[in-house]
Amino acid sequence: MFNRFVKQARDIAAQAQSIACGLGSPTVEAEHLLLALSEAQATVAHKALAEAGLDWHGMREALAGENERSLAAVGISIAAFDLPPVAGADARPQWATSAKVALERSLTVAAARNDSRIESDHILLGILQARLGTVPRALEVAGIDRLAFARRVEAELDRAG
Amino acid sequence: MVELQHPSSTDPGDGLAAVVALRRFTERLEAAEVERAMREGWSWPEVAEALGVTRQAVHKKHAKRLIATGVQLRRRDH
Repeated sequence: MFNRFVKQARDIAAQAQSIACGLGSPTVEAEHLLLALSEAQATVAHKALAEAGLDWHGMREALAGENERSLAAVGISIAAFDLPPVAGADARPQWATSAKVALERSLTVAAARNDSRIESDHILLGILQARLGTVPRALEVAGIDRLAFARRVEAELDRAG
Repeated sequence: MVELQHPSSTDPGDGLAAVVALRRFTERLEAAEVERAMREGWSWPEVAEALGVTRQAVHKKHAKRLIATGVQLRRRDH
């Protein structure tokens, strides 16, 4: 799957895996790809995310907000638990469906744009296609209109390309 | 005590997101509680039995992390 990915895009995938590991997640999810993108300097994706307030810190806050809100829906207050952060999980986290789907969608996005190579910006567009799940909900918490944001990233890409 | 309540929202998306968040929560709680037990001198077989999983499963999932964080594990149980 990764053979059409440029090195920088492959680095995003590798970085997502180490972020997931660092956060103690047993799986690599779409949100870990997004966190990796928030750190990838000098990309359209990074710039667009930063402008939307989604640098690493902003993204972590949005994800924490989503988590809190989702647990609150079943009456659990995360603040009631004093859980220590999980230090470095065991093995390499496995790729979960949400991340796999985002990467597959980055291929579709690139094909639709007639881009032959997959860059990290395509990964962002792939992630943004998800209508449901943790990422769109976290974006909602952050007050970001997902579709408008995706269109802005596309427009930036058109200009850059 | 945690009291589960049915999601007040009528959106199934909120209920399903709660399932995802609970899975994340369980992972974190397990990591924290296994670490606490091992710090207090519990053995792998004890932790495994308490969790209702095999000793191999709990060891595979947590041993490397606990060793990396400097938890003194009971030697004969490694």
